[in-house]
Amino acid sequence: MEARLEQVKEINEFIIEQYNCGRITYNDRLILLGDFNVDATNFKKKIEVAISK
Amino acid sequence: MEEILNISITKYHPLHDVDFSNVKDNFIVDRGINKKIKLLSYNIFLRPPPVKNNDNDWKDERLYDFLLELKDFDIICLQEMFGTLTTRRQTLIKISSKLGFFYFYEIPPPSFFSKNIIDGGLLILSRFPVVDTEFKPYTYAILDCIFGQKGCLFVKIRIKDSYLVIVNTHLQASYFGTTQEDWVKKLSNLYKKVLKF
Repeated sequence: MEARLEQVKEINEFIIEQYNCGRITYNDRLILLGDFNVDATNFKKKIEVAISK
Repeated sequence: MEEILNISITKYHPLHDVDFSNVKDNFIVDRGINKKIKLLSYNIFLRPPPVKNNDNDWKDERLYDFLLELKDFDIICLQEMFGTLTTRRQTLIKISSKLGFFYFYEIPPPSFFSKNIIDGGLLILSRFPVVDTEFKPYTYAILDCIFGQKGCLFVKIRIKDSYLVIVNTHLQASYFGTTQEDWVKKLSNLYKKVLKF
């Protein structure tokens, strides 16, 4: 469990670094894809709620 | 598997940089009036030998069927497409390049000095030019996931004058002591932070 959270935090930090060094710009479209070992339907609902707030 | 090339042909996305005046209509994928770009993220479950559950897990047969579906997508992110002790990943890259996926980025093999035995099984295929890449290995993994080099693939893809950044990953698979509901909740919060940045 903690391993997954640590890994997602590492992704988050990596992406922030890329923004900070200009490798990703705010004009770019960013998509995070993959196998998160999560119930996809349930996760999608949560994300939709998170985005709509 | 090479016989797939006899029934499929190289096709270009309508937003591709190629000079379409020299391309026949049947060599252009149909993505509708909006010229949609179709993405796929898929855990293809092609583990390296000798790992298997049933007979041979029907690995070659499933890869063959997957190759037949490539025409429906423009950018593909795969997990568990392992390249250690097998040529399946190279076969997929070779055939997909002839079907219009001219660009790819695969996870590098683990360092000889690392504790990892196999690669992390990540692969990105694209019809559009990949202009920047990086593999970011994770520093933390547990249980059976320590054998593979877990991490995320970063690619920057150019589509006309715009850029699409894709991060493909396969998180820790084995876990204990936490319900799926807890995990969904925590991951959603973290995902929200990434999206908001």
